[in-house]
Amino acid sequence: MHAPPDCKRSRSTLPDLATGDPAARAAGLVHLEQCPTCSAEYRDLVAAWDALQRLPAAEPPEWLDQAVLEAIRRRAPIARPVRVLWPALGPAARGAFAAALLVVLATLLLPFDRLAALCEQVLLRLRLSAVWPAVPFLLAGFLYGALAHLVVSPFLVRRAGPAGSGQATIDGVLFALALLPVAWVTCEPFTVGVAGGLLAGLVAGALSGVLGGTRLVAWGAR
Amino acid sequence: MQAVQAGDLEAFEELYQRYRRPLFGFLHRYLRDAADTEDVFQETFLRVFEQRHRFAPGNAFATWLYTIARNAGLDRLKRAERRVSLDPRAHVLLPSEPSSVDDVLDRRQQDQTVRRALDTLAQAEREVLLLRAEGLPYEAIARVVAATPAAVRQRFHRALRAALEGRLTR
Repeated sequence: MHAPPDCKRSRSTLPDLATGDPAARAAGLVHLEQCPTCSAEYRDLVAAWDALQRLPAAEPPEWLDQAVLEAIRRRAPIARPVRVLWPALGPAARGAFAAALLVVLATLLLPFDRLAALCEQVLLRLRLSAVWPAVPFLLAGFLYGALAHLVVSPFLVRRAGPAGSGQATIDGVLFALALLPVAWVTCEPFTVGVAGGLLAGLVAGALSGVLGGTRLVAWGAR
Repeated sequence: MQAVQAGDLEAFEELYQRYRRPLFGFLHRYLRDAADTEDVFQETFLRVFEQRHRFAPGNAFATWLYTIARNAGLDRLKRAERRVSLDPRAHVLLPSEPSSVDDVLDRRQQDQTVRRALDTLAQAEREVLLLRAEGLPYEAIARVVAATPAAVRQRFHRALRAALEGRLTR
């Protein structure tokens, strides 16, 4: 004996109805009120579903929680996330902005010609007479470059590994490019060779920045 | 999840606290072995952390989590090729409500019946039934088990009826 068409349709939705699916309720409940066979199966399915859901849930033991979280901490590449001030900008844009900002600040706090004069005085006091007029500027450039990387690198270095050094190098080049016009104007009485010496100092500063950046990454990585 | 992707451990711990119980409960019923449950549970969260950059924003985290857990569990089941009866004393089982001694005994007997009924199901049906019991809709389960929602619905219907025949309620 075949089931009536309504029963066939009802049976195809009974499990959904038993689990409380609202879409199945609308059509299913009307038929159940009139059909004792489907109604009995529905009650059994509801009971089965309830029994399954009442099955006690196992609780992860405390030692497992500790083991999982400890393992995650060991594998975490960053012990403390470095805050990036301008997350919307890319690393290069952030580097350029930071370098420009630093030049302005450094010029306001300690103008480049003052720093160069200071370097000259120090060299004289140490009886290391400048054999070449560019040396104080070279030293000043080096100090500017090193300072730039100390300030800028933490904003750029986010991940451990060689990428940190690469970003610090890009940062150094951007810094050198940003400072060059300022240095050029400041060094007007001198020759182009002096500006070249300054640039060499900046490159040395960039190298120190690479080393500084690498150290920062290593410090943050573990 | 975005904070987790950026490497924020505190955000990961929040996710862990939120999903540790439901996931452990699912694996406990799915694998039916205490040691396997612990291993796969740990493996799942480690994979979640290591593969966090693969998670596509906008998707449901629970679906992704259960996909990883189900795949890891399936690997374990295939590798072991065994069906070990679960020792209910191996983990702390949380009763759904306080009861009298008789109720506790009845409940314990009923729980054993439910577990035996689950044991009679095929793996593909059992996983769908358990995922549905975790509250996942058909569409999410379909992504977890790599099938169509219609196929999942059919499997679920079959599983619930088969469980009923296995005297899930008696």
